[in-house]
Amino acid sequence: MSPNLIVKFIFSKSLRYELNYLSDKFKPRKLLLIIFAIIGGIVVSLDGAQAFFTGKDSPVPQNWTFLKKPFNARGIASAIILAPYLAIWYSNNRDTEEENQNISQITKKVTLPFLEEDLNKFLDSLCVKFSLSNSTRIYIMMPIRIKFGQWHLQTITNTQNYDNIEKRVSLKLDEGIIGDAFQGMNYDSRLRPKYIDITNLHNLPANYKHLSQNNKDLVRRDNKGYVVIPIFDRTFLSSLFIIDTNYPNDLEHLKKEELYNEIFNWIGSEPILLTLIWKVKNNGH
Amino acid sequence: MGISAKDSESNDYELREIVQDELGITFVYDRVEDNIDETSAWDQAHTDKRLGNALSFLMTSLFSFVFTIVAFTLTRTPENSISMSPSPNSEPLPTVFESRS
Repeated sequence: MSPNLIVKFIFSKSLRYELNYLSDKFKPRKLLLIIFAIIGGIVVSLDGAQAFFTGKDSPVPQNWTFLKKPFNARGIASAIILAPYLAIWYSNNRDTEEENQNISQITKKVTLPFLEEDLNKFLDSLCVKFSLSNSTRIYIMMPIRIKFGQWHLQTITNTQNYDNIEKRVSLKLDEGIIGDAFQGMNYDSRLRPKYIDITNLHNLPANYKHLSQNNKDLVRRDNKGYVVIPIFDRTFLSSLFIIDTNYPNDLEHLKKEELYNEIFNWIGSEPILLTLIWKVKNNGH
Repeated sequence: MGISAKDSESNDYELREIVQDELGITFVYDRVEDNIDETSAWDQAHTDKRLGNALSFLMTSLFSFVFTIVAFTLTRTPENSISMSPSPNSEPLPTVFESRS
């Protein structure tokens, strides 16, 4: 890996999400507990516990030579001391995994359908209020972990006029119009909707990263414009609220100030729900 | 209702600036606060929680450090094992009777 790539990775959004993910996954106190267990195991097995097998007053019969050898005694003593720690650690992990599975099921069966229904109602109200066409769609995309250090934007919920096949779109964090907008977003952008007109593709930035062939095959080809709004839960950019249309007359309406006011109020000031979905989605379920 | 899961979220937002960049147009808004106290309370609680977590982490690290030092000291000292029986190579302790004779 070249130094430029390393620097790029250090400052990338992927690394920030990766660190956030890892800090959720591996709590420092858990690691410290393991270190305590190992050190404790070594210390105790060197003396007291080992003496149980090899000491003068040991209850272990003298003819059990295997247990009487210091090396074996030390190994068995360490194992006896470490076993409860490891059992608790394993059991905790299993419990957490089970809880995650349950939350994941609830999210899938209850939360996301609720969000989708709410999104549909919201779109209907916007269409009436701002004379938008039926081609206007709303969807929410969120960074999802693909593998270590690799995050893609994927749709987690959408209005009913969004094509099912488009749910398979998986954008790199700097790919396409949405990726490009996402890259430029930081905490200061939380109240900054971005309106992007793509009727003239020659106006795209010089460093614009085109869609991969797979994504190109999935997305609606004749889109004319986008509105991209970051959704922050305090300082955490959990997702993107996106409106797109392929009907040119909608573009003027998508630039209206009142529209953004409505969207801000729909998102609310504490969209903790999306952070929860982010956590559930990225725990591998 | 919205994704904030609140029944009514009715803040006002004021357009401050419109910025044209390479990709498109950015509308810069400010919020005209109507629930600033609630937000401040949340911020305060969040800061307190973070401070608590940081302190907890520091205390645990300190304890871990002390624990490690003690553990290694014990393992490195040859006389670490506490035994009531005298070592076979050690000199017998002088008794009171011996010193008198």
